[in-house]
Amino acid sequence: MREQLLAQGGTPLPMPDRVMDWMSILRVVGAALGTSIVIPIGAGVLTGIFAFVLGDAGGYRQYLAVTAHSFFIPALVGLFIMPLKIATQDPLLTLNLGNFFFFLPSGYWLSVLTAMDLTQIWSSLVIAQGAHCIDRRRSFTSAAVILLSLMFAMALIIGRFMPS
Amino acid sequence: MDQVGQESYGKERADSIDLVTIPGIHRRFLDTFFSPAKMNAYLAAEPRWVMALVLSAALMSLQVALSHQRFGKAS
Repeated sequence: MREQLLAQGGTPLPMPDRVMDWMSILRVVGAALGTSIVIPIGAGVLTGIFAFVLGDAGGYRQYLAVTAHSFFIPALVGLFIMPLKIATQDPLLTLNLGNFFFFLPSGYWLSVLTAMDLTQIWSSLVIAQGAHCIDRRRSFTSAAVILLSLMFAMALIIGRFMPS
Repeated sequence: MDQVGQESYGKERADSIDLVTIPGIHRRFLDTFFSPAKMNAYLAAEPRWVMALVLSAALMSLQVALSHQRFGKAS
């Protein structure tokens, strides 16, 4: 009914407060669950890359510990930039590489740079340091290059789907 | 390095790991930002992840709750 009304160009019916409250609770629980799922998956990917593919020492629990701790960075910085989001009225605001390339015309490359979040880069460097500590043969530089290349590859894909 | 040298190095390393005392979550939280090398050395010796996962999830939830409270009607 709500969709029909919107399709006809009418104003949507206001959602009841109870529904809004439930949506808010679901979002909060979803964020907690999402984080609890993303971190072990990320650790699994790191174990796959460093331990299985590249032959480093170290097990899943070590990479999980490093990933879980490195996640503090986007989680806390995200809270700190909340006042900036409120001031700019932009809930999707992030600190990203695109902020430094404001002179670029909007398009694919600006979208790629925008997809590269600074807190994620910081977090990746902490994980690279962790990979170096887990296996001393793995240098920090090589781990950082591997992780940042992966991030860049992801940004190249995400940039395709971001509105310019 | 000869066999004896390798053994003594291995024993030394194992002893140094035994001596590592893993600090509390508050210290590890601060070290993640200000001294990641120290934090990662602790974690390589003794991987602790449960509290870090819980704290990260709590921080993300708080972020979403604040965002929803402020922009909930718009989004």
